[in-house]
Amino acid sequence: MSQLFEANDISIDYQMGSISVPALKQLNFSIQSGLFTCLVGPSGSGKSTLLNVLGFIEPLQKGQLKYFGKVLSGLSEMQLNEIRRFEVGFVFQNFHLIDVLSAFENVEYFLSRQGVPRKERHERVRESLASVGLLEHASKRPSQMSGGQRQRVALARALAKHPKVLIADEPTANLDSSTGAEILKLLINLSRERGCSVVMASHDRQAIEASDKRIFLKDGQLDEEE
Amino acid sequence: MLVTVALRGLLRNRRRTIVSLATMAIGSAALFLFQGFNTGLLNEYRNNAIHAHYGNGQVNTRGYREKILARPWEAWIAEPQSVLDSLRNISGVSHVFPRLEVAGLISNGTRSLGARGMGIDGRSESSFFNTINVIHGKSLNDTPDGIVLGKGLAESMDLKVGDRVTLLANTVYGSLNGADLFVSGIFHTGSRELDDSFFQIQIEQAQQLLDTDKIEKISIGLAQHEDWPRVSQLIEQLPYVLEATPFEILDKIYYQNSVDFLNAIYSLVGFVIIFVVVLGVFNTSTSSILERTQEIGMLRANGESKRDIFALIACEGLIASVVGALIGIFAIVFLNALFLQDGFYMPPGPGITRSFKTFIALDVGMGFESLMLIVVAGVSGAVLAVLKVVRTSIALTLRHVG
Repeated sequence: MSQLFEANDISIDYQMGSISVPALKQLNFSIQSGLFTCLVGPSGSGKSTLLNVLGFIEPLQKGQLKYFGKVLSGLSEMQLNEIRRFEVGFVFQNFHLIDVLSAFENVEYFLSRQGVPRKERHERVRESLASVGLLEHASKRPSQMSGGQRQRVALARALAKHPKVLIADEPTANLDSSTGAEILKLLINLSRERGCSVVMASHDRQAIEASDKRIFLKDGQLDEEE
Repeated sequence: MLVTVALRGLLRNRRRTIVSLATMAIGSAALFLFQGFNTGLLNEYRNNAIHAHYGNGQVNTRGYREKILARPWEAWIAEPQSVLDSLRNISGVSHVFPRLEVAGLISNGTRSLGARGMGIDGRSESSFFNTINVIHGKSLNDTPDGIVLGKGLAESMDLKVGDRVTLLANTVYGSLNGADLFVSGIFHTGSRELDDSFFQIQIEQAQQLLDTDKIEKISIGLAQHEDWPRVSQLIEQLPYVLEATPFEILDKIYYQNSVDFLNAIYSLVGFVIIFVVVLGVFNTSTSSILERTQEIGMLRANGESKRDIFALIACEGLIASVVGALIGIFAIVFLNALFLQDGFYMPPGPGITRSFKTFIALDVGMGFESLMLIVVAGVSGAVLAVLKVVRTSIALTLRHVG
């Protein structure tokens, strides 16, 4: 099992007017690939900020982060875009689907941007939608779907990319408990069956219990690592 | 897929898209209409300059126009008939008009007035110089002892059609000579300078009066003005040491300056229109982009580069501006065909005393230019609107609260 992430003294400060607020303080940890990792902590503990750093969408201010042994600060914007496009899948709390596209098109869009040929693209879209149980809703737009269905489309979108790492920021927070449990089950299956690394921020006890690794954060600092 | 997303993006908020399309349609319509109006005016100016006075150009002996000569008649065109025949043989030349300028004194028995005029081939000129606008009597045509006067000149001497006048002038040898003529017509060109002091007589009368068999210049009529560069080159290759000058240079003060003036106004108005369109599109695009900030963040989180986002928004701007511009252009074509096909009258321009008819002269090139300008404005407005969002970090755009 290779090392997915290795963080050395990583820190992030947010500028609120003239005041600098520390969001992450000198974190040191490592995450092996293929694991289901949970970031745990109360609101404001820095979970989302850390997820953004691990999803390459929040630039690191201090410290060093290695991704499969590569130092991130040494990568150009174009290389980071390539990693985001081909290797990272996102599932957001607020789904972030393109509301003018159908479920099918939402999943297809990033495959087309990867340059996947049309035939293969359509197969992968159908396969992803089927794996989240939404194939029969493929032509529906997000506005015609429930919250759970939208989150499953978001998950299918991430799955279709065949990512090396899936970043999920409280994906069950806006869902009722049974829908949340379904989504969680899908994420766990993804990790177990496909060997995809999942890093998820969550308050959900079930998720925390099911995870292979837990990183506890408090006030931007590493509280505990299991 | 990019085009699908861009197209659907436009349908996201139909009211806003309609406002955006209307801005671009009005912009392209204004540009197209104004350019058509300008071209119509210039066509009229050109038509007037060619068919009222100069022809498509003029031929003199080489250097005659630039030099100030003590004895100008020595530089006039000798053996005019063979020169005229050679010019007629050049392909593209439809008319040749020998001319001889006369400065003299017109007297009606009680009053004398200095005037300048032109000896012309009355019969052949009447078929080509058809915008000279004879308001009383008729053009010179083949009346051997007729004289056609400018309106102001006729009024200041109280002359009417049929009245007799004496034209006095110095011969090329310096002696005084005179011709008895009768007023066959009175013209009104609208140019005060011409109307107040100009007259036309037959060229044979002018040659007799000046005691010469030479002519001063030859006006050239072409089947189409675009042939001028080729024709002028051929004229200058003839074995007569001639020089050909296009009407734009002969009429620089009136025609060429008008062209430059109208083009300058078009550039200024065009710039204002484009600026307004950019602002309008920027305004509507900004509110659309603001609503889509999180979506842009999501696209970037999934690997879309800044350039990809610009391309997506530019694609939306491109589709909207092409559609908007085409609506405006076709609206003008339709309105022109419906209401302005027969032309309309314009008040007298600078230095002119009569109103004139003009048309909206539209062509495909103009439509394409208007379309392209609006496309540039539309795409620029849209891209400017997304600039700030693209510069913001991805995490911040995802956290944006609309």
